[in-house]
Amino acid sequence: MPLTEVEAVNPVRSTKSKSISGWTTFKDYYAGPIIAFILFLTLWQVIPILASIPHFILPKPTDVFQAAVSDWSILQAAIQVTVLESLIGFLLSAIIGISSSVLLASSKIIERSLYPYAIVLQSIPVVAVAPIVVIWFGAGFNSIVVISFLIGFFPVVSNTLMGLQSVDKQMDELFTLYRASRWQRMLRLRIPAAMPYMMAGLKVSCTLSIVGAIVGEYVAGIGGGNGGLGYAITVAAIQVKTPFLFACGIAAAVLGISFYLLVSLCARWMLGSWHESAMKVEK
Amino acid sequence: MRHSKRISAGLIVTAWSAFGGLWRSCSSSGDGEIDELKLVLNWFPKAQHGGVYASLEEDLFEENQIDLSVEPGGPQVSPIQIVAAGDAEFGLAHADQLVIAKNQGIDLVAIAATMQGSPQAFMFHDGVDIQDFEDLNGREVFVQPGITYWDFLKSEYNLSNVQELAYNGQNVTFIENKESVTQAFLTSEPFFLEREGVKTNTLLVSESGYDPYNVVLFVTKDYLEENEELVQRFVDTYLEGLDLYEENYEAINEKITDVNPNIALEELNYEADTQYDYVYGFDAAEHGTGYMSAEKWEELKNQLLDIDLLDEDFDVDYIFTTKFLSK
Repeated sequence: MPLTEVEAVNPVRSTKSKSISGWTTFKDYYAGPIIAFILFLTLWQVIPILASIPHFILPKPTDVFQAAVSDWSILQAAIQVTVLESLIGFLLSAIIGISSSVLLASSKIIERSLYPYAIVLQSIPVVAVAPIVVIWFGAGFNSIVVISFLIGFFPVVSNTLMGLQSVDKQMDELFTLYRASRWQRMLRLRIPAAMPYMMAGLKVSCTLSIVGAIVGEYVAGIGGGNGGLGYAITVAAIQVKTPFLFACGIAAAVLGISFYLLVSLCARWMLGSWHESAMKVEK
Repeated sequence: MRHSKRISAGLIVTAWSAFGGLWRSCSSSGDGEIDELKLVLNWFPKAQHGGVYASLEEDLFEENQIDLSVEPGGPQVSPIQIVAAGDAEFGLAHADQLVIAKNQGIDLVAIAATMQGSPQAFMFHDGVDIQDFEDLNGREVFVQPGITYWDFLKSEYNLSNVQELAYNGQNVTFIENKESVTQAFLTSEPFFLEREGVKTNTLLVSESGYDPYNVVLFVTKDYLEENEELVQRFVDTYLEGLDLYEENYEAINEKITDVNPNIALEELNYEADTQYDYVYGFDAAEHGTGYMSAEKWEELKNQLLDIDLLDEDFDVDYIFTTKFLSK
């Protein structure tokens, strides 16, 4: 008797629960951020009006939108340049970062001698290094890529190095048991073990490479439509175009977020099948 | 980070200036009250600001019941925005900056000119054959992003073949590349480079016909209307300082090196020498220091209109006044 009841009820419930689950994921994951965003925009729109703050101090979202639309050609060109520069800077920091951490990890002596200098390199503020880079590499594209690389390089190195050193002890002993060579150990054991760390480093590095590119454009930008966001920001500041300044800043933020999501996606794809950090956790 | 700082500063400033305005209008009505004022410079203290420091040195502001604090400028400091936000009452800026600010609805009024023309120039290595602006083609030119005269030159001359690079205040790349050209102030950069053993020549931007007042003293329109008497006192003191500086600039320059130790005394003296005609000569020789003419403002306005840096035409009487120049 109870069995038939369950059977009768179940099919209805299962279709219903599907539509409910779609709604609950929306409610649990997306509704909050969307409401917060709308609330934030409303406050931002209303506060300057109520406090009568002029638009050259705090432009309203509508001012920013208008500025972005009316100067879209400048903004679009600037974004393209910055994307290209930061992409090359990021790829350089990924390739050089990972390979140099493999080198560092391959020998304790090399690591002890070189790693402190990597930290020194990182602790110098990029704005202080930028003018020197311009002296060495000349104003323009090359310098900007180098600055972007310099700022994105360290997170990759430090994370990858940590990953290469946190190998499971029992696995390590297994490799010793099978008399694996140094490079076999590196390729088959240490690098796979370092992958999650490497990905974490790359996620940090990709947003930093955009920061680096913009700082680079500040000190070594090229005019005539090849300026990038840093250059556009300088021009907007000098010509008191505060709404456009905001538009450039927001564009940089959107760029950073999309870059981050892209790298996260790659990371999930590479780690998805086997590492906890990327697997969907069932509650 | 910078933005949020400015925003909170802006909020506080709007609230504060409302209270401050009330308080001041009550307090300054009485005789013998001291008015606290702030002046934002257009750059780090240098010989251009000699008049201000001469007045401070001789206590002229105090004699005129003004307690003045001076805020230095710099590459990321915008006197226009600081004064417009009410953070400071007086500011120094290039004349074209005031006109461009009008696009954003910022109503500022120039009340005295420090320099009668513009010593802005292009600097190139000695021996390089540059006679005219079109000779800049085919070269790397370091120029500050967004600077107005560059837009003017681009529209007047065919400069399509110039490789335009951001000027960031350092001249090392310029020194390295013998064929490159950089923006410069006639009154300082050539001297710095000469000292480094680099011989240079200059081409003045004013030769292109673009020659705005290089440094003007300005206030907001609202402030001017509410504080005419105070503005008069300020301008009197400012100009008296400029005249004092003419006589004994070497002594005043020593005081400037106290507030800005990054600039050497000999550099200041060189600047004071080379800027002499701009401050005391030209129109100022006949009409007195601080002089401004409607023709020159009109010309600037039209030039900026022509190259689309100014959105709407306006009457130049709106942006400058000679009312406070007593001579």
